[in-house]
Amino acid sequence: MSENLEQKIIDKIKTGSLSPKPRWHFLLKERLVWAIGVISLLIGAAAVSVMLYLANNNDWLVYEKAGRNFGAWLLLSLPYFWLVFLALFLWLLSYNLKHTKKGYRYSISLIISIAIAASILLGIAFFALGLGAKIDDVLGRRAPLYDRLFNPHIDFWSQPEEGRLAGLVVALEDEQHFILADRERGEWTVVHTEDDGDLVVVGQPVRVVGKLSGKKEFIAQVIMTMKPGREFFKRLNPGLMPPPGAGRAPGQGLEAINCNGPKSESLALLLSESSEFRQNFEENLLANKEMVKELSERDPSFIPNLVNLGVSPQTISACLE
Amino acid sequence: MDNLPVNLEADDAELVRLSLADPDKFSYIIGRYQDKLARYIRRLGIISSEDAEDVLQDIFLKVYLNLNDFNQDLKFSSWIYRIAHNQVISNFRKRQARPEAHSLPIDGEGLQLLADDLALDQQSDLKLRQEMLTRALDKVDAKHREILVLKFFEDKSYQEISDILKKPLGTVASLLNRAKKDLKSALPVGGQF
Repeated sequence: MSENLEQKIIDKIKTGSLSPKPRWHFLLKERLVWAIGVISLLIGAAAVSVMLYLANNNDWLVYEKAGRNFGAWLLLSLPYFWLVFLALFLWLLSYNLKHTKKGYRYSISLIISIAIAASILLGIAFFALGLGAKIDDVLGRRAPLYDRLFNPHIDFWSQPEEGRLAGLVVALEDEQHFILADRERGEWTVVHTEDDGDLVVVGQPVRVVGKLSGKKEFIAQVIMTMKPGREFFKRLNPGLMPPPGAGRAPGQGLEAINCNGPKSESLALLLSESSEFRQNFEENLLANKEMVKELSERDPSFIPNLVNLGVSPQTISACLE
Repeated sequence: MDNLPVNLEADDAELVRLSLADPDKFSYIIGRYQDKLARYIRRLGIISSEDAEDVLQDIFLKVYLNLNDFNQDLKFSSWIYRIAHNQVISNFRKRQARPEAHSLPIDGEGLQLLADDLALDQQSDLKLRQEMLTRALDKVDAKHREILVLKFFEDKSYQEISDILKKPLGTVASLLNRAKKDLKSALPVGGQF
């Protein structure tokens, strides 16, 4: 070892004009680690709140009616996406806690336990504040693949051949029959007892336990409201679905407007006779401007048909803005 | 540099503060730790004095550049040993080399402490016992040798080892136990001479 190592290092510092990295550089790094940790905690807790919301509305007592044993029913209704999502953010939180200045002093198992406990406790608080429901509603309205990814209940309740059907009540035929649009916009005639009348309201998403009684006909044994996924079914806006007998084939939505003859005349009659129906119809056109634009581009007769139906010019021009 | 008005009894934190204000004062830190770190890095397996000097230079430059990262929650010696440890590891990785375990500069006092801890046969010849321990140390896994070096040759406490290796105290304790078992099994006939 050379005798003058001291001097060599000092010379190197001076000739290289080296200077200590500023304090803020280290503070920023430390704050960044904490910030990512806190964000991970918040996101993980939000995932917990959604899972609690899903579990809380899972109707633990109806699994037998839903035609499954408890184990199979539990496996089908576990929110796998949210579990993976939570695991990812728990890992990120633990990683960042471990990489804080004093994080190395704690064992990884203790850090993971703290991360899990903090995410669950904060998740319970978020759930109590209604955040789980809000996130589910927002995703239901906007998220692509919501029914396949975010909410396993939709899939579980969309098995009519197994006695489970979910969808939106789009029309009431009489006191014992209503039309339900499923997630594919396919339409079902549901036969029910008058006792369920309170739940059968146009625009209301419902879950039905029962059995198939024909092609696109379902006999209801139990009708229940739908909480998680309710906004998803509201995408099938009843205002955009002409009422029964208005020339609408099962599975059709707005495109059903594009028809001529007696069916479109019935719709025109309904629009002219019911101001409430007209208002609702026009509001829904405005709420789905993009779809109106797309249909008008695809079919030049779409807008003239709307005019013929008596839709106000202001609504049509607002839709095309 | 000799004329610098620095009290040689100044503690490490004070020397850090002075070095931040004047690079020349950093020579006091170098002077205080040069021999200790040179011995430590050689015990970690950097045997050639040229390599050791290069690594030592890199260590002190890194220490200087990161002076603002030192906080007094930690002993300065633990902090500088941590940098030295990381630099040695990165040096091995960079050169894709393995620690050279033979002829580690280990002293008799450390070997005696180790022999006592392992409760080795006290009746056998001291020199022979030390020779056997040195040879056994050459054979143990680098990770185990590293913790034995810190505990018995650098005389570091569990807390200091935890701060240097950035491992929890419990992990340090179990790693040390495993290291001692590894060393015992490397001794002839279960540690008896």
